Amino acid sequence: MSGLADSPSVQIVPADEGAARAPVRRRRRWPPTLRFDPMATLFIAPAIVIVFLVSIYPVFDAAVLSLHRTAYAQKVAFVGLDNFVALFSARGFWNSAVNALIFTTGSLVLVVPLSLGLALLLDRNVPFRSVTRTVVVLPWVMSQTVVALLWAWLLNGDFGPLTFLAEQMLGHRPAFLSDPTSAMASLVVVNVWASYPQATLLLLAAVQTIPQELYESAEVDGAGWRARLVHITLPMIKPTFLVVLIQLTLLYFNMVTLIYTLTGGGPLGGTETLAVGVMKTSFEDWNLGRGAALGLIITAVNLLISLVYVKTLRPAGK
Amino acid sequence: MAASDRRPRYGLLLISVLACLFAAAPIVWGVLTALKPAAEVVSYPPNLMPSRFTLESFRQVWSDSNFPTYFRNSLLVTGIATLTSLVVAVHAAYGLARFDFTGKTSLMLGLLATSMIPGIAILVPLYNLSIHTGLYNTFTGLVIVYTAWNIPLLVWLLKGFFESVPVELEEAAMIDGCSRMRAFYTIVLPMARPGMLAGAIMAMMFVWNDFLIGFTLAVTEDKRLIPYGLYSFISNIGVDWGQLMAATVISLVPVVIAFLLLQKWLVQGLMAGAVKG
Amino acid sequence: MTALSLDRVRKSFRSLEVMHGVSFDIEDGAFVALVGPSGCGKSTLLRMIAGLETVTSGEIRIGERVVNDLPPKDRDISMVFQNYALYPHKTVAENMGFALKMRGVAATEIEAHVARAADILGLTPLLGRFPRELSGGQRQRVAMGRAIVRDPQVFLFDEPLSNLDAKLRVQMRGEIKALQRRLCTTTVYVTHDQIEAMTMADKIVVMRDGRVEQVGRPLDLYDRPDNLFVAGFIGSPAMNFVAGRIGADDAGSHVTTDDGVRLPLSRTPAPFVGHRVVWGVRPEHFALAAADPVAIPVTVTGVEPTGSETLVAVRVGAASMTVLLRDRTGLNVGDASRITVSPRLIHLFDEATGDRLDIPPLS
Repeated sequence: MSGLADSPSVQIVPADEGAARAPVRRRRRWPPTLRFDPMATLFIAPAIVIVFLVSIYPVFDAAVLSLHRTAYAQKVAFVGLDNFVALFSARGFWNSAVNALIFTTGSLVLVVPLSLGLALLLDRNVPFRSVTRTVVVLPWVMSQTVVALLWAWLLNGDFGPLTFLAEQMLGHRPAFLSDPTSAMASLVVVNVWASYPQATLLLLAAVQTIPQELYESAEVDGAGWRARLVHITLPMIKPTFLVVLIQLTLLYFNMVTLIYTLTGGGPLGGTETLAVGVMKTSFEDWNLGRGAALGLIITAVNLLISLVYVKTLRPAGK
Repeated sequence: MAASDRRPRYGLLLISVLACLFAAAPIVWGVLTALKPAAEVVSYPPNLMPSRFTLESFRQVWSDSNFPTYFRNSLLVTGIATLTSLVVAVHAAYGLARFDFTGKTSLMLGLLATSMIPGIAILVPLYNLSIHTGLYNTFTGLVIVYTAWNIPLLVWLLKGFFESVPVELEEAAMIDGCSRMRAFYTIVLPMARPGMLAGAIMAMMFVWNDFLIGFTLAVTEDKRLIPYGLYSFISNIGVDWGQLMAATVISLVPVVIAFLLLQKWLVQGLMAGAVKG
Repeated sequence: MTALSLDRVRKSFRSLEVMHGVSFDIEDGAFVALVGPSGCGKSTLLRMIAGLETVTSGEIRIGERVVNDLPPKDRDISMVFQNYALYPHKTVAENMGFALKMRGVAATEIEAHVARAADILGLTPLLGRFPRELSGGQRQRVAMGRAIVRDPQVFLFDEPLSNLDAKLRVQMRGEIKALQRRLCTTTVYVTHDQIEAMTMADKIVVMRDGRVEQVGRPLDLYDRPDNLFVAGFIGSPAMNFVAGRIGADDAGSHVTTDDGVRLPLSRTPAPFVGHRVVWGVRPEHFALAAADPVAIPVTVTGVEPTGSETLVAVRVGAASMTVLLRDRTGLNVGDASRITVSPRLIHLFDEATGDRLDIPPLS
């Protein structure tokens, strides 16, 4: 240790006397000092560009398109708000709006309690819990197309097992998908089957983050399971609960594939929602201008729902 | 839930069984249909169990229809789109997690907002755009759109993972001789593997299961993806339900395998989607 | 030979200057501790030396090279982080060999270097493990192993012991010191713990608010602190301070506190009489002298025996002081007693500037 024997030379240059002693904030910014770092630009730009081209630009394009009369994907003439006026004055529009409302609320009313109950069930010490958990979530991997095909077969008027079961109970053979009312009811049930797993998983994850001590303490305080549910579980999962609620609402309101592939919006427009209306107006009637207008209306409703989402979630303390 | 239920309760077991039945019975029926001889598929009253199991429906759908083409197309598009989504999102997420710049918050919120745009509303403009750019009815067009639609969720998911990697690891790597870029690839990226798995399965499920984009942008038989392919089966008159169920079962195989392998990552991915608000 | 030198180094974040011109040189092979309260800029300074923070102005030289604009990888340094920053997906051996691998060293050679470092640190049986399978002390050792494998010009340590429990900290303190003595590598060691700095370093740099307060050997800082800050920071329990005015009369020189207590002082030249000062004495330099009529009268407000020594809290006029006694005492709370201190162990500081007041002794 040669250098150590001699004292290392150290000198100090005094700092400016005039400089105020600013409080030192220990900033852990990394990497240091950058505004427009080339690496950041290089990393972020591709995502921005592609999202802009595929998700943002089309919204503006849709806005322009909605102000035109179109023929075969070509803009023919600028018509101002005619497309919107035509939509609002058509009976089909209001029919679709009502259907969308029925479909969305009907599904929500069934899915929310079902998934909450399942989440609570799966959180408990039930025999074969892990198997149950996997099986119960299984419908989630299925695409809406597959769900539609599967249930079209289950509800098939000639050979479907559900048709058979219903016939045994009712005494006559039902035609689930041939009557507007029963078609809507069937559609809601199918939708419930297809969409409850996602809500269940999210609620389960939320329930599992509640510390066990809270329940133990409540138990010591004399709370029964119902009191624990009302005073601990539900308040603790409230933020997730609201997220789930909004996710499902948007999912149902915007749902096209399941409805389009199962009933095609029929019979007699009985299951045609606004979202399915876009599909039919655009790609069956090839009225792209009006389809775009309807799409914008749907976007606006989405924004409205999201707004409610933000407004209700914030006070929940996130 | 509570300390008092250490002992399993059999009432709950009954509810579990009913829940499983509700979830699985339709699937089981579909699978059994696919395994029935053609004559028993169309018998009324329907029988649950086939008199004998046969793979005849599977053989027919695989050799006598275009289903193998759809399957191959779906594999190809899903694989490539998942990969490109991940590559683009991983870089953007890292950039947003580690770099500070003016407008970053707005950028993140803007990205979030795009995931709120309902796909159905921009389907027509995308159709127009694909025709104008010559990407109509091409795999490239499909991959680009799927990538863009995957990016917001993936970026939010992965950004969280990168933020949980201690900065000191990158600093240590830079002192050990890496450039900043290299530190990212050799040190940070391997650590974000769970996030990338979660993201990959989310992206994969989305692409494999999507009907709308395929329906709008890939129309000819040779470009068709599975969901539209299955749909075109059912809209044909005189559909063979045995074969249709066989095709459905085949189409489920990749997602079910992915689901069983990656179940726990998937929940993480879902959670990221849920807390992003 | 100078291994590391800082010349008027400044650092600003946007418009806020946090480092106000820091300069010092470190000789080859020296162990220097950067010490100061949290937020004093010691870690920022270390990171600037490492190249993890930019230098706004001034110069940092490692050996003969100005390294201001060199990326960390080209500075020939290695660093041990507070949280160790071990790569969790690499084994101990891979962690230690990573820097050599980045330099394109052949695999067999890396293995040899890693084996030698592992041998020095007693890590050989752990080479195949992953960081998550190690205890805190073992992780600490791996972090050091990663640093020494490279044989760099300078070791940088950023509070490396703060995540260990008290007992392990004392043990690792000794190990790091011994290792440094063995390798003779210039070392800069950041800590907020003045005991670590005192026991390990050849030289201590005391920092506050982005400025250097004093540089010196550990015992020099203890014996002759340059200012009130250093006097209060170095030493535990901390030095007692009382403000007062220098006076002189027939009985000799003294400092009179604002409430009239006379504190002892060695004989002071006339020009200093009347000066406002802060009178400072370390707790361990007081002695109990109940019978001495000229000793400082105190009232006991607390007694904390630790077995080996006794910490007595007392009141002197309105001021509180602590007295550290080697012996057990019969003192109880509320007792009145007297304490003395040898005049040569008294420190005086200018009350206005806080700087040390060196009074030439009267012969």
